[in-house]
Amino acid sequence: MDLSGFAAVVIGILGSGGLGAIVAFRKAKPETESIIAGTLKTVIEEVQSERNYYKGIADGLREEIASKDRLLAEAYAQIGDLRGRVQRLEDGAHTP
Amino acid sequence: MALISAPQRKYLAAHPIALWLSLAIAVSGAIQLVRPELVASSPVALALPEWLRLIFASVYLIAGLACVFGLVRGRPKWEAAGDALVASVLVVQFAAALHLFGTDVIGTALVTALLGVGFAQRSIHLARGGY
Repeated sequence: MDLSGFAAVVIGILGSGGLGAIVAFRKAKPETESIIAGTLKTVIEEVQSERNYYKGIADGLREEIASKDRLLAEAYAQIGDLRGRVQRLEDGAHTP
Repeated sequence: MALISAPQRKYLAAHPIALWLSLAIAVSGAIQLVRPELVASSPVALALPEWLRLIFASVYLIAGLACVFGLVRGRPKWEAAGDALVASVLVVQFAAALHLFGTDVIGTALVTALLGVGFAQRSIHLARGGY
């Protein structure tokens, strides 16, 4: 085979490779499943982290509300007690 | 944001042979283009005219880079295209070696040819929707 004949063979092989590359490019998937899954996993982890952060804040606020509720209940009880004493004084009792 | 994400690193770790072969092909293509005198005695350089040798070296470089990009970024489209091109340049190398030296270099030529078969098989696998 002379040089020009061999050059034609080489062009044919490279051309076939080019066509194969175009076909393969069009048919192959755009991104690997493992990477898509990995990206989704990262998103899920970020959302879970944020959820835990806000849950921590919410739990703290609930405890704070319960504490204030207890203080309020005590204050109402003391008010009730004082009202009772005042009422008894007004009724003429000598000793409260 | 990291240059290569954790899933991409996992994908790369699963394909070390393809990665390093592709990188070697890209480097070899660059050498053939920039310093052709270093590979002046290769079968391809001896068998092909200058203009075709330049095309061959360009395809070599592009094929290697496409494979590396596809592997590093997790893009099977690029990897599949690069694999097909790599297969074709390896077949050219095989043919050039046999054309010039005949069966004297059959061992080396066969290694080259079988590598080409491997790259072609990988390209077909990716084109069929595989990973």
